[in-house]
Amino acid sequence: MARYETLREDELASDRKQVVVEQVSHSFAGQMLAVDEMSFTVGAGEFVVIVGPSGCGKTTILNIIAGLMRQQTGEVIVDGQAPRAGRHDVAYMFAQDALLPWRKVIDNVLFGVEIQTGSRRPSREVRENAESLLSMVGLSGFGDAYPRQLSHGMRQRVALARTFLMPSPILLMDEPFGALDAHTKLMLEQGLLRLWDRDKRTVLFITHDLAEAICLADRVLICTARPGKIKSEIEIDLPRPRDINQLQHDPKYHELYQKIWEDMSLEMQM
Amino acid sequence: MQSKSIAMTKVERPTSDARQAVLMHIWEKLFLYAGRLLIFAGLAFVWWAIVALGWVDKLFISTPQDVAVFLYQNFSNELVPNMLATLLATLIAFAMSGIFGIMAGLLLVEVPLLKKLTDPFLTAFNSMPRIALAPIFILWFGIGLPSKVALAFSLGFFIVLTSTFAGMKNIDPILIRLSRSLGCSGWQQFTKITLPWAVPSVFAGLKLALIYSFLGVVTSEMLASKIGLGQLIMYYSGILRMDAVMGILIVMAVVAVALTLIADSIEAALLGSWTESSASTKA
Repeated sequence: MARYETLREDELASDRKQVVVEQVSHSFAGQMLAVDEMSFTVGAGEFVVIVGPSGCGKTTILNIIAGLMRQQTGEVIVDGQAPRAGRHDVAYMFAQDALLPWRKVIDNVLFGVEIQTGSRRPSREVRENAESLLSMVGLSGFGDAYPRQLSHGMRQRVALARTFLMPSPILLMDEPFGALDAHTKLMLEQGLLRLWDRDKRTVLFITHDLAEAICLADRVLICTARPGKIKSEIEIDLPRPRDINQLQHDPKYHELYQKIWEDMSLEMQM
Repeated sequence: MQSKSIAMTKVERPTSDARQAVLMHIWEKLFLYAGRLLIFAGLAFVWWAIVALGWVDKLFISTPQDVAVFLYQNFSNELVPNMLATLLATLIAFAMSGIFGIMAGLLLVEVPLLKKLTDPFLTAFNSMPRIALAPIFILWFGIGLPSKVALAFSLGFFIVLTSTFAGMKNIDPILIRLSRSLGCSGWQQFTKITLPWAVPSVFAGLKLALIYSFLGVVTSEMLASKIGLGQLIMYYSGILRMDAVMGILIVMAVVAVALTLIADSIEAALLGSWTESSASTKA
C-alpha cells in the first residue's frame, strides 16, 4: 500500500495523467455512433466516475481503455502507452461477478494474481492479503465456500476482492454494483471507499446512479445519451475519508446532487 | 475496519438443528424405499393376478413365481457369464466413446475450420439409424466382441462429442471477457476456464453414452452373437420360454440402474460441491 502512496505523490507532483481519452469516436457495424468524440483524462490516484443514461457508450469506452476493443478514431493513452488487453497495471471489474463456479471463494480471489504471476501457488504474503481483503468485504470465514452457495451481493464482493488483490494501479469498474439491491450496494460502496482510501489507486468508475457517483468520486463526468459524449464535469470536493451514511446529512451533498440532477434531466429530456 | 457482517446468507454449517434435520432425512429415505418396494410388490401381484384369473394366458407373460424360479436356477451357470460378456462390451465401448468423443469434441472447438468442413457428414452419420449399421459391423468384425463394441461406439461417440462441443461452446461470455482482460494465454484460458466450464456437460454426455453403449451392445447381440444377454433373450423367445425372457429383462433393468447409480455417485463426488444448483451461477 505504501507503494501506491509514494507513487501518487510523485505523480501528483508532475500532475501526471494516467488515462487520457482524446476525441474518441466509435460506432458498431451498421449502427449509429455509440461514442462521439469523447475526451477526458484521469489523473494518477484520482477517482473519476462517469455517470450517464444507459446506452451512452460507457461500457464501450471502458472496453477500449481496457484494450478489449479498438476505437475507430481518436486516441487513448493508458499510463503512457496504447491500451492492450491483459496489461498488469490495469484491472477491470464487471457488472457481473464473473466468478469461476468450480473454484472456492478464496481461489476465485486469487485468480487474477494467479494469471498475472503465472503461478498456481501464491506466496504466503499474497494469500494473507487475500484473506484480509475477504474480511474487509465482510466475507471472512467464507473462503472455502463455492460461489453457488453465496448470494448475489456476496459474489460481487468476492469479485471486488479479486480486483483489489491484483496490484494494478489503474482500476476500471463497469457498473460493478448496478445489479444489487440498495442496501447491499451501500455496503459495497463503503467497502470500496475503504479500499480506495487504503491504496489511493487510479479509478475510472461507471454508473447510472447519481448518488453513487457523488459518494465515490473526486470528479464526476456527465455523459450524454447515444451518441455518448462528455457533457460536463463536476468536482466533488466533499472531504475524505467519506462515510456514506454521514453524507446523507451533509447539505453540500444534496446541493451537488441537485445541480448534477438538473444537468442530467436536461440531457435526458424527461 | 469495523467489519460488521451485514446481511449475510448462511452457508450450510452444522448447527444444533442439523442433527434433527439429518434424522428427518433418514426417515424420509426409509419411507421412500419402503414405498418403492411396495410398488414393486404391487406390480408383481397384479401380474400374478391377471394370470391366475385367466385374463391372460401364461404363455404370453409367464408368472412372477416362474420368473423367480428361472432366475434362481440359472443365475450362476447362465445369467452371470452372459451378463459379464454384455457388460464387458458395454464398458469397452463406453471407454472408447469417452476418450475419442472428448478428443474429437475438443478438436472441433479448437479448429473451427474442421468443424465447418465435417459438419454435414457428422450430422448425416449421427442422424442415421445406427441399428442399420449392425449387419455391416457383423460382416466386418464377425459375431464376437468387436462387432458389439463397434455398434455401441457408433452411438456413444457422437453423444460424447456433441456434449463436449456444446459444453465448450456455451461458456458464459463474461468469463471470456475476464480471461481477456486478465491477459490469459490461450493455454491458460483453455485449461483454467473453458475446460472446467465444460466438465458438467461432458459428464452429462458420458452418462448418456453409458446407457446407449449398453443399448448398442444388447441390440448387436440380438442380431447375431455367441454370448450375451441380448443373444439369450432371442434364444428364449424363439422357444417361447417367457419366464426366461422376463427374467432376463429384469436382469437388464437391474444392470442399467446399477450403471446409472454408479455414474451418478462418481459425478456427485467429483462435481457435487460446485454444481448442485448450477442455475445460481448465472447472473
